[in-house]
Amino acid sequence: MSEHMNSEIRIVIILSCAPLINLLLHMILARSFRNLSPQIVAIKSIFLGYILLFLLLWLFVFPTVIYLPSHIVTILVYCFLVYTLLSYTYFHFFNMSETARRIRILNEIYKAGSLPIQNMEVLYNTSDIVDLRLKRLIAMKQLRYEDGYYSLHGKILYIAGRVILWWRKVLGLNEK
Amino acid sequence: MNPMVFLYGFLFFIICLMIHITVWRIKISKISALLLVLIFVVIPGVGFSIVMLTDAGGIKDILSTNAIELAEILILHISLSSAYIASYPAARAISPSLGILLIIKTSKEGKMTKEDIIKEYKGSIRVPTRFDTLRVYNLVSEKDACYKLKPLGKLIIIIFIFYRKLLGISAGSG
Repeated sequence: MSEHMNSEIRIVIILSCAPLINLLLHMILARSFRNLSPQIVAIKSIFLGYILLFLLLWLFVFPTVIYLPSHIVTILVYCFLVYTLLSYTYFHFFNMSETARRIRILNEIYKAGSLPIQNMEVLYNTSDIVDLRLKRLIAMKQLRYEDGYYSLHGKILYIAGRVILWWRKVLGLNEK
Repeated sequence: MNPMVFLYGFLFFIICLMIHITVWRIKISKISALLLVLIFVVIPGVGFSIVMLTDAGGIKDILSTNAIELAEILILHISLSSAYIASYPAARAISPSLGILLIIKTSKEGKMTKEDIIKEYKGSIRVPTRFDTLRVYNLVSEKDACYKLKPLGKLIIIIFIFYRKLLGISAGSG
């Protein structure tokens, strides 16, 4: 097998380990930054992962073969793209564990063994749901609170919301 | 690295996306998440694996790729697909966080009190709608006016509890 093939196999192996890299870095940072918003800690661990990814490529891929500059750019773009997409997926998995109502419901039933139906609405009502999310959005700097009013602060999640509304139209979800 | 990896990776993802849009516009299944995994991951994954192992239909020659490049194409496709599948729940049922941002932005003065936000949301994010999904996916059962976890529901929550323990943080607040 040529050295080129070997280095491509190493790229595949390094990228396949991306979720594990995310998890290990997140484990370290989550313990180190307990006062920060959990979502921000997760994002910081992902950014740290870019540095680790580049180090792994530098140590195990680039020294093995003499690459043209265009090949190095192609490898970096590919690795950056795949790592970003896998990290995005990891972030959503973490966020689900943090904020998903369905996961919370499963957890409450698991802790109690079984839960009476009428308890569930009391346990987790609209006011609590909104309250939690307002706190989170302020911690993530997407909302500001001033003189008793909430208003938009950051734009990222708002733009994501607009994209999602458009995508719902494409899928025909608004019509059903 | 063969630049065609990018083209083929995106192309396969877009083909799956077109199939997804077509199926959804015909009928939205209650088990939409499972269908997504089937369309984006299982069928392409099985197809790629067969092609990589057997070179069925001379695909490697048609695409001018070798086995490693096919693996790279598959990884790119799976990455795009997993990112899309992870985003889908927010589109299926607009997440309260995004919903709150949208209604504040479109409100008369671009700002709202907590009470107004809660009033806007009463009825649209009721907990019972979440139970429908848990029931459809066989995660909970209803017996003697109580909710109980089914084996799959128990497995899922144990995975999440273990994951949170690995991170050294307590359970999420939902």
